[in-house]
Formats: sequence, structure tokens, C-alpha cells
Amino acid sequence: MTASKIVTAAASGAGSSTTDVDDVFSSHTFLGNGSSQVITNNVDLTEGGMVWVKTRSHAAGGGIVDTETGASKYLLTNSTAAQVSGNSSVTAFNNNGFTVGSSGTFNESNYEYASWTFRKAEKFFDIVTYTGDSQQGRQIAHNLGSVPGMIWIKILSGGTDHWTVYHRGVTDSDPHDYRLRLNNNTEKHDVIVFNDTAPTSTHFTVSGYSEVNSSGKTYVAYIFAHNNNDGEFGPDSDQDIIKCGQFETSNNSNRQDVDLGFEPQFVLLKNVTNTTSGDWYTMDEIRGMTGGDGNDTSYLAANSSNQEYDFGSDTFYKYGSGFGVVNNAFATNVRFVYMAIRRGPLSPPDSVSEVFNANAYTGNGTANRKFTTNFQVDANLTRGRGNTYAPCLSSRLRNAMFETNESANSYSTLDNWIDWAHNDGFDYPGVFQYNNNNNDTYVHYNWKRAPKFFDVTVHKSNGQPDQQIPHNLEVAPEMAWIKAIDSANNWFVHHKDLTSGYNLILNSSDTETQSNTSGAASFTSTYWTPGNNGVLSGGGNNTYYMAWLWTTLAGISKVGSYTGNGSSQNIDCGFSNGAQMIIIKRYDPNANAWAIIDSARGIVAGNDPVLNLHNTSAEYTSGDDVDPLSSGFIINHDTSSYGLNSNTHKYIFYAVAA
Amino acid sequence: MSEYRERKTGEVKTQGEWRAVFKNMSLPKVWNSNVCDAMNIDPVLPSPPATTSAYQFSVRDGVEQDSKGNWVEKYVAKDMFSDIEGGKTKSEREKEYQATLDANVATSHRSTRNTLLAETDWTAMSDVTMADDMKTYRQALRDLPTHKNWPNLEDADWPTKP
Repeated sequence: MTASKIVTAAASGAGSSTTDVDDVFSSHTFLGNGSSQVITNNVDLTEGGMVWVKTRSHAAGGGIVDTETGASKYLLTNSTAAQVSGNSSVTAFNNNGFTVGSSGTFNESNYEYASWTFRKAEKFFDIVTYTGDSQQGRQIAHNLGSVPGMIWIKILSGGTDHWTVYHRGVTDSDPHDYRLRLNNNTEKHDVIVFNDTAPTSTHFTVSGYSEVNSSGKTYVAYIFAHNNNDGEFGPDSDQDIIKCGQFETSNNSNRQDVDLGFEPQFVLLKNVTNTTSGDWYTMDEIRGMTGGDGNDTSYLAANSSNQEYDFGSDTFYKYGSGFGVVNNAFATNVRFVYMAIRRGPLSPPDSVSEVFNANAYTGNGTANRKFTTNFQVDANLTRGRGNTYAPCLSSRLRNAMFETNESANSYSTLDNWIDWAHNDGFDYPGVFQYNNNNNDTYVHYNWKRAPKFFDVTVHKSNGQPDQQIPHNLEVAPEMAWIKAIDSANNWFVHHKDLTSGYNLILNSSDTETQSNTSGAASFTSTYWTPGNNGVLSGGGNNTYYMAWLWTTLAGISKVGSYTGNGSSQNIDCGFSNGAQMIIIKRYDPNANAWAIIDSARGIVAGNDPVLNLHNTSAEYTSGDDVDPLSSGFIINHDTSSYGLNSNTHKYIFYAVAA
Repeated sequence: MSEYRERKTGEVKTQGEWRAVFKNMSLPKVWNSNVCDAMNIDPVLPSPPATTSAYQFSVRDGVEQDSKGNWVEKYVAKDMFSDIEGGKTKSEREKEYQATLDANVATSHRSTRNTLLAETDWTAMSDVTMADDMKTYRQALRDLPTHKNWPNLEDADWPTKP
């Protein structure tokens, strides 16, 4: 049981647990070692489920193993072949993942792999096996607990045949009259494999066709749900996590948003009208599913052995409430069907170590340097501690780096700043002066996106002040940093304790400034709007923006403010073991620095090293600006301090617990 | 991981471990001073790693009190190497270690250089006339291992692609 499930159970007092999307689905990357390795993704496969593995770095078909047909056997998604047995594929299903053996399809040495794990759960996924009898109208019972959105059927033994796919979106009426094939790129065909009978919440129906029901042959069916406001997931057991839907493209270059009602972490996409771009495109956020123009979104194809490729920009993208395509990027005037799975977690974090990490390190000058955080990193702020080192902010939602001390966007397409394709951390693929110069010292801060803690959005402006940009913080952001991706605008900082209608500029020490005169940016629990603000919508139509959003979560993070007293005062953040990182900015008249302090470099009873976010100055080490305090931090003032507690002056801050 | 020190015994446990000790006590998520008083424990606050030289590393060494009376994590610097009786000296082992580090950096730089060369290999094809600035760039890449700063190159030591 995950921590989120335990807490939810305790909070409900019902003694029963709820199910998070992270409990039933995982996208997980790993590097093959050619022997045996345990893949820990915290999905309990003793409950039953399916594992799909595909190499990213080499050309080879993807393999599927499931708990119903057993370990050490597999099906190839791009092949008509029967199940291969006696092979070291997935050798064990564990209560927190699975074990791969030495099969080249699953674990070739130094090959990079993607894996997708689906656990059996009502209204999400089920697996059934059956022996064919060639009888038309054969009903196959299942335990999905809802009407399937998609079904994959494959012969296991007794011959070879295609993968047969039902999808509820292939036509507006009677989709059960048609089938698709997972192992190739062909369009839908009107064939009576599903007996022209709609599936129900208890069974689906097959004809006597050999690909689904030939006498004496054995079959497996993978059954995926479609939640339509009837999902039973998340802390209140009322959230949807899987959608099987459709959309149609036009003959233009317009963007088409597909509103899922949630942000996806996994999308399977298929043209069902013709074979143009007819592959079964498979995307996930671990390998890269980006927002904005979607540049660097990576895809594999279930029907192909091809290695991983990236879409170019303006092809496929995701946003806070779904995904989208550019109409003519794939194929025009066709219908696509999709399966999308929601990004987790659905519950707020229980401990800070699940979602935040501060780490001081010394550069070693080597490429691909890995840092392990033990959580999925969604945003990173890296700062060299010496002179001329820019503070560098980046996010999984876009392969780019933004210097917080600059209005310029010099690295907005930098694709080797961070390799995000890890479940437990990240690596710096290149050696940059700003992240890993040999013998230079650095500090970095890593956040995971999680409800009521932190979120990131990327969007394309429509130039309108009332544009609503959806986010998944679930509460109104108390602090936001916003940056235009493709124009050299100042950073915009919203903080709940600034004067209403005012903002700060991250790349400046300036005091708060009035944002506008008619309509400020606004932040709600579900979206934010730019208002009449030149920095946020001045680029007009077609300008992309990123926003990093923070809020207070009891015991874990605090967005707050204080008035300086010129001596020393306790800042109570509601923490238990003190602060791990603090960002402070004075916002009343008289400019002052954006200061960042952390326990990785030192929040101690002596001097504390202070770095800036608005410039590239070296660390200031001559003042005792903060002292440790279990409930937060103590802020000091004396002649040598950095001016973070000057008498009567006003300060805003953001702190994360230790 | 949050730690707490028992005031009488000095025993240090994580929050989860103390919850197990006080399993019959209803404990909130955030432990303020009242909660700690009830359990007779103090929070252990985070400390930075010890300052180390190139051939030292920082190791956790229990807890200590800072000048303000807080209980904080204690870290000490330890030498990576020592003399081996009848074998290599500490200094010799440090030199070996540094050589390994330099070799790793050199390997990384060679890989980057080879990638950069491969990106411009098309300019060296028989049906393409290579521009002089491209020749200079590629030669500078090949000459990097003889650079005076090799293998500890600065960003400015890398040639700029024309």
C-alpha cells in the first residue's frame, strides 16, 4: 500500500483504502543488463496485471507478459506470432513491480527500455483468457466492472494470427462492427469479429473468426476501461484515470486540444481512417511528453520494431487538462482513437522526501552524471556557488533551461540540459559550466509535481487576458513564477502576500511593481489567467509561456511573509524539523536581492551561505542571516547580514521543510 | 528523514520509529514543541555535510548541539585513503585516485568531442567541399587532448562550431 493510500484510509476512517493511479499504472524506464534485474515501480502485480516492455534505443518489437498466462512467456505487439514460452522475459511478478530476465526483448545489455505496467483493477484494466470454440456469439465474461473502452485479443497457442482490437471510438455508432490490428498500421475494417455486438460491463462477444475464437485455440484479452465521470480513484474515490476516445483532424495547421478532464501521463494514439501516420503511437511523460509546442515528445509504436523517435515541434503536445495535436501534422481529415491515462499522484504528499530534494555537490566534469532523488523529478533549479554562475530553472514539461536572472530566453530549446527519462532522479547529459564543471561547487533543488504542493504549466497564449490555463495544484497557487518561452520578457512573480495587483520580477532586485491598471493576473484552484499584463500576454497570439506554481501544504511547504524587526525573530512555517530551503525577497520600497538559503549548504547557528536568483553573484558567506528552528527558521539581522530582516521592511518567502 | 532525540537517553530515532514506540498515542502529522514535550524528545535539525578536501568525504556521526542549543545532525570529514602497511602510501593512493578522476573526465570529453565531430562528418564527404572555418573547427576538436587545460576544460576551451 502506498503512503497516499494509507493516509486516505486513515482520513476516511472507513478502514478501507482508496486507489491512486500510481497504484495501478506505471511508465518506467530502465537500462538493460543482460541478466536479471528487479524493476521497482510500486505497482502490486500480485493483484494481477500486464507488463509491456519495448526497447527505446534499438529496433526490436515490444513484448507483453501477464499474470494470467504466466511469467517467462511473452507476446510481441508487432507480430502475429503465438506466445513464446520457455523464455526469460518477465520472470517474476512482484508486489512492487516485476523482474526481467535475460531476453533481448526485455533486457539486452546496455539497451534502453520503456515499460508500461497495468494492474488489474475495476474500472481500469482486466485480463481474461479463454479457449476458442468457433461458436458465433460467444460471450466472454470479464471483471472490469464497466463497459470496456478498448479490448486487445491475441491468440496464444494453436497458430498465428493478428492482434484484434476493439475501440469504442472507431465510429460514432456501432464501433463493435469494426476491428483494428495492434500489430500493423491498417485502418479500421468492418468485420464481424466482435459479432457486431456491443461489449457490456460483464462480458464481450466474439464471432467464430480464427483471430478471436477458433476451436481448441487459446486466447488472451486485455481489457481497458473508459471512465466517464464514473471513475473510482483518488482520495475521494471519485476521479477518472483512463479515457478511450476519438477526435477528427482537419486540413489546416490549427491546434486541436483534446480535453480529457485530466493531464495525461500516457497516450496511445491511432489513425483509424487510413494508413497515413497509421502507427500506434505510444507516448509517456517519463520518456518525454511535453507541453507548449510539444517539441521533444518521444514516441514508440506498438506495431513497429522501430526505436524511439521524437516528434518535431507543433505535432503532439499535452496540457493541464488533456493533450492535443496540430491538425495537419499527422494526417488530415481522419479520425484518431486514443487511450489516455491520467498523471499521478492524485493525493498530496505525506512527506517532503516524496516531492523535494536539496543537494549540494561538486562538479566532476563527466557527461551523463546521474543524481538520485528517489522520486520523479519534474522541475529542477541548479545554481553554481561561484561567481558568474546563473540560476537555471527547468521542467520535465519542456526540454529547455531558463536563467532566472535573465529576461532573455537563450536556452529555450536546449535539449541536453537535463535528461528527465528517469523515475528516481535525473541526469545532466552534457557538461555545462552551469551544472557540472570539474571541481566547481553547485547546489540544486528538485521538485515533483503533486496536488497541493507544486505544479507546472506550459501553454500557448491566445492573446486574450481571460485565457484560462488549467493546472493541477487543486488549490489556488500562492506563488507563481511565469516566463515567456519564446520572447525576452521579464519573469513575472505572483505571491499571495504582495499588494493586490502588484508583482515582482524574478530577474530583478526591484521592489513590487503594479502589474497593470485594468485586470490583474488571477489564480484559482483550477486555472490561472494572464489578465491585461504585457508580460503575460503581450507576446499575443502564439507566444508560449511556462508557469511554476507553489502553495502551502501543512508540514511540508509554506508560502508566507513577515515584517522585519531589525534583530531576530522566529518564522513559524508549521514544520517539524526545520526548513530545508528558503527563498526570501523584500518587496517594499528599496530594492533588495532574491535570496536562497538551504540546509544542504547550511542553515546553522553560525554564518549561512546565501545565493541569489536575480544575478550571478558568488555565494555570500559572511552573515548569520538564519538560524535553525524546528517549526521553520529564525531570521536575523546585524551589520554583516544580508538584509533579510531589516526593521519595518516587508518580505515574502517560500520555504520547504526538512 | 525526520529524526528526534530522546532527552534522557539520547536515543535518536526517525519519526516513524518513534510512532512505533508511542503506538498507543494519537500523533498528528506535524510535531510541534507540545508534541515533542509529550514524548520527551527534541527534533534533530538538518546540517550541511562537513567541509572536505579533494580526498575526503563527509560521513554522518550522530547528533550534536549547536551554539543555540538545538540538536542537529553531526557530520565529520574522513580521509578517503590511508597508508597501507607494506603497501602504497596515502599520497600514492590519492594520486591514483586523481588519475582515475582525470581519466573519467577525459573519457567524457572524448565522447563529447566525437559526437561533435560526427555531427559535421557530412562536411568531409567526397562530394562536399569543406569550408576553411569548418576545417579549423574540426582540427581544434581533434587537438583538444593536447590543450593545456586537458582534461579539465573550461567552456571557453571548446571550439565554436562555424
